[in-house]
Amino acid sequence: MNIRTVAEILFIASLFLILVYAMIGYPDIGFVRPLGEFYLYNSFNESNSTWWSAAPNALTGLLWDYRGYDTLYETMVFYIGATAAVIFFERAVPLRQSKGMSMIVRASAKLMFIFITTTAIVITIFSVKTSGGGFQGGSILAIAYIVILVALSKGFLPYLKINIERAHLIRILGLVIIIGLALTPVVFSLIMGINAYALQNQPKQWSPFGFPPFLGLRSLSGGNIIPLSIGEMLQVGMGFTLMFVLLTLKEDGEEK
Amino acid sequence: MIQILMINLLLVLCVLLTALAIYSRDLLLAVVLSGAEGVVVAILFYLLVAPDIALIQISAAVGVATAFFVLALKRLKRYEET
Repeated sequence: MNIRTVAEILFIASLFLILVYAMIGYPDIGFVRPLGEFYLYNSFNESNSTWWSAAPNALTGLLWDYRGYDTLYETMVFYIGATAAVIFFERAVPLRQSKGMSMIVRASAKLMFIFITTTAIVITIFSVKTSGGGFQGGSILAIAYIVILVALSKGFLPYLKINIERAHLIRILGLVIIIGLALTPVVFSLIMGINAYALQNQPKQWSPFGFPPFLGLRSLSGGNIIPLSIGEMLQVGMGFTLMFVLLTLKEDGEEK
Repeated sequence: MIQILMINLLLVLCVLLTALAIYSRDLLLAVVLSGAEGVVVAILFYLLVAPDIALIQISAAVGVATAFFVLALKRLKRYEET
């Protein structure tokens, strides 16, 4: 037993002890801090609608309403990161449709793709009511394409009506949806001459602009949260897909 | 109490899987082991009442990251040299 093995065992044991201490020694179980109290009392309190976000899932309300700028910049960081990857790997190689696929393979792959995409859309839209969100939906959307890419080949992607230019366009469309919704209250306030903030969701007493809090009969919509989540889903999903497709293309270029 | 015990057991599993992934000479096996570790972390998030973070963990850290690692592995050799 040499000294390196001992050091490694000690390292893993200490890592484990730190994790266990973090679990047992966490002092605040059952105690809500003042900021958390504010969110708990106000994020879903219809009778005091000054601070509410019209979303039953308080977490989504926090992400897109109370801390909207945080999520906005996060989305932009992801966009810039994916753009950097695209610049690094871009090759003008068009995706060719492969011919060797039998009809059974094509049909089953399309079916699988539809199932995964539906899951992504449901998780994104219902993030207002249950756990979920734009980033989660976007990663699942990317997985729909990546599963096809890994299991079959990239020659299959044209069957799904996707190519590099279209992925770029959808990614930019997602960002445009988010920025447009963020700037809508500002434009509205300039036209109407009232107070409004960028990324404002529900009306306040001192700034009466607001997105409709209900969809139809008493079904809470969360104001602008659903379209914002859809924008993030498109942006994140297409960003991951684009990076993955470009990585595979680069490899082919080197093999030739 | 049972929940804390279970969380600790999962943490042990997590450290074990990470150690196995580090020491494995077969890099594909290491990728699969780190994916399994990601699943364990997702269960931990779920037990700590953060189901949306568990969703991110499952889709991004287990799905997308594993796929990227497998893709990177295609450009390397499968077995690590001593």
